[in-house]
Amino acid sequence: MRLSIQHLTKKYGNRTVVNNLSVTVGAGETLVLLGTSGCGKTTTLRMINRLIEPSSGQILGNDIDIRQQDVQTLRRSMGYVMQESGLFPHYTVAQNIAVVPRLLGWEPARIMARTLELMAMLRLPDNLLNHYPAQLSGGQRQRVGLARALAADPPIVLMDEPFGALDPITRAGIRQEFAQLEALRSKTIVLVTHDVAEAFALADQICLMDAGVVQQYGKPHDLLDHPANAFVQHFFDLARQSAWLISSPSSGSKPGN
Amino acid sequence: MADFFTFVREQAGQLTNQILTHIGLTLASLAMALAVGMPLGIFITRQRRLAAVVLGGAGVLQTVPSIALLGVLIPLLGIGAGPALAVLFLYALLPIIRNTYVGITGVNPAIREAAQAMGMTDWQVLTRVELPLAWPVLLAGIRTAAVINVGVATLAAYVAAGGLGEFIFGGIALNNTNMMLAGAIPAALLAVGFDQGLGWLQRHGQNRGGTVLGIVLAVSLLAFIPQTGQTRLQAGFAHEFIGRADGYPGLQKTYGLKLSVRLIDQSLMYEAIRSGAVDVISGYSTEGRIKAFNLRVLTDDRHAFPPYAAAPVVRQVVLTQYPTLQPTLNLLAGKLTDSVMTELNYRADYLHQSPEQIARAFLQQAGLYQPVSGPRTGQVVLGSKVFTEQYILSAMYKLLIEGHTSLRVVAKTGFGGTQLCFSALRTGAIDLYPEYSGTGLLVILQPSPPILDSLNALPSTTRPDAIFSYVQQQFSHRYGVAWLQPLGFNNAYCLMLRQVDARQLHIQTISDLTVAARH
Repeated sequence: MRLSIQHLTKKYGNRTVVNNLSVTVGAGETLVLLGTSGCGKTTTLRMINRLIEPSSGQILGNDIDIRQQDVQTLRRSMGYVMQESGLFPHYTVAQNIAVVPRLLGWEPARIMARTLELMAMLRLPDNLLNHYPAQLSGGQRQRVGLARALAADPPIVLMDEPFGALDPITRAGIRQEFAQLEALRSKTIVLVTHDVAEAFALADQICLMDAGVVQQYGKPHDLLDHPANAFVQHFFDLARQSAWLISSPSSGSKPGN
Repeated sequence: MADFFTFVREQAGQLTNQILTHIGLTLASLAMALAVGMPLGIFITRQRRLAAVVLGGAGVLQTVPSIALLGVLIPLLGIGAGPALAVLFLYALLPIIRNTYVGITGVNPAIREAAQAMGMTDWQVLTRVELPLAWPVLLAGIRTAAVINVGVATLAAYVAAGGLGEFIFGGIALNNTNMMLAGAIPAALLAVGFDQGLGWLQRHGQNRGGTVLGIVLAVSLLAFIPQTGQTRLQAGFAHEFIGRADGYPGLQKTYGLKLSVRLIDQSLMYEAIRSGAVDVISGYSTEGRIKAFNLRVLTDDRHAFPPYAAAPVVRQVVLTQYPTLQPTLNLLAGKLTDSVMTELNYRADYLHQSPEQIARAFLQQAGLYQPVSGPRTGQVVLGSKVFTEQYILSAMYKLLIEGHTSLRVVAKTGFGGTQLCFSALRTGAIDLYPEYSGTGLLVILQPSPPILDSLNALPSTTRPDAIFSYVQQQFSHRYGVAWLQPLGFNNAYCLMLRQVDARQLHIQTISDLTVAARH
């Protein structure tokens, strides 16, 4: 499904959190909303599944305004993956994965078959089905979170810092797995992150935001090679510096020393 | 201890009844509090601005002492299960509203957001996510409410709603430890049982909350299924009357009377019979409302009740220490006839005049009133039992003593029963109180059957005097307590019916009632 965001603005009183944002994601593409904390990227994401209603502007899914649908029906057609996975602590793994199919009224047998399929796809052992989220590792929780988002095979998947709560090693591993996941290839994905490396690894398009305003929007290498303004330049310079810091043998020393 | 088990065995039927009523009251009020409190608690999580108001209001209700709350509700709801359930309901409300609110607001906002993002409706978010996650906190509230209510439900006995309070308060009033424990121990066990049972649910019931609450509601409804197998006439007796040898046990022995008996506080009996909550009550012959409420006093045709000549009982040491006391108290001797006392009681109970007002007016009329003057040189402590006539008499003594002597009078009124009042006198906690000869005989002295029979065998003309002098002599001898000259009236126990019923059922005597109750 093609997702088109047009002149989207969100104000809280006098404060403008998202200002006149317009981007388009083609069907099966991944759009990364990149930026620092408080830049409006999460607010934008939440307006797509109407957890937040915009002050003005509109969002079109295949050229139809998403507000024409009933809000619950809309949300059931969009997978949602959150930081810390957002799993229901009182539901088992199987029950968590089955949430949306149950809301859609699937037969139990169909739900079970789909759950097993997803467990296999995300390389989760079947003996975890009756475990509760608290009994899982961080990486396992994140996979279950993704399985839950994909359960009803929605055309769109929204991800809010999906790897944010993981340690760097697990994070890199899972990210790679996600990137290779066949089931995600055909999805239209909007992913929010502040991690530049993550953005470059997953994005077809990057939308770099600051203070609610789009600073640059385009293919990853366009942003890197042709920064549109000083902010973009500065943002990527800082990212490079920290990457250098990590790779430097005498860690802790400043670049140029 | 053996006595205790004997008592429990003998009263097993009564005890079972009380326990079931107690459980019924607790669960029914809990169910009502859940039905109102949970929706209210949920509502204020959606309207946060109202939370402070609602929680504050429920908090204030809970700080009101339970007995005071009962007092406020009696004029509104009358006597019986109504006011008892209302008090219990109000008490259970705060913990349930508060814990519903705290439980739901304590749910991680990310989890709630996830539920919305999955496409759950508001109702689904509430029932599938918020309530199950709030369950442990909510159940902690239900647990608190249940334990509070097991305790407060003992007060139901005051308003003829039954429960274990019947034995507890009866036991206290009669100084009967076994009776007291037979009520107190099951009440304590019930509280522990409720707490443990609900604790188990708190750990295991998270995803079956609806079922659990359903069961609580269903069980509590059982408590309202009317009990069968009772006689038509419902008696409401004060606890002292139920336990005293000259009370219900005496009537059972002398007449073979068998009634379905509920315990009720003696000050509420008259209201209860008037409103139709009960049909027969154990009243006092000098009660002021007999006429006003259209009641029929049944003739004690087999003389089960002894004469009850009223007189002040005073510790002898106090009389010796303050020689002016005895002549002062004797100023009232013979001044209060049956009709005068009935009239004074009427003014208090029906016209709602204060005991002090009534006492002063009477003394002025009798020419015995003297204003207080001069410094105080000593002090006596005045006691009374917890009913109108005793309050009037002690008000009268206070005015009399302070006007005619240089003594200061301290009043400790409202002792819950004869045994309590007399114990206070014996231990010197009080120095005097008004008592009745028949009560002194049967409750305090408890003479052996041969002595009782010989007193009862006397002709009715000499019997009252003989009993008075026997009691006077024995009290002086055994306890060092003096009975001063009688006030003049006799306040006998008596059974009362509504005039309408008495006419319709042709009941004039207690023998008639015994026959009528058999059908």
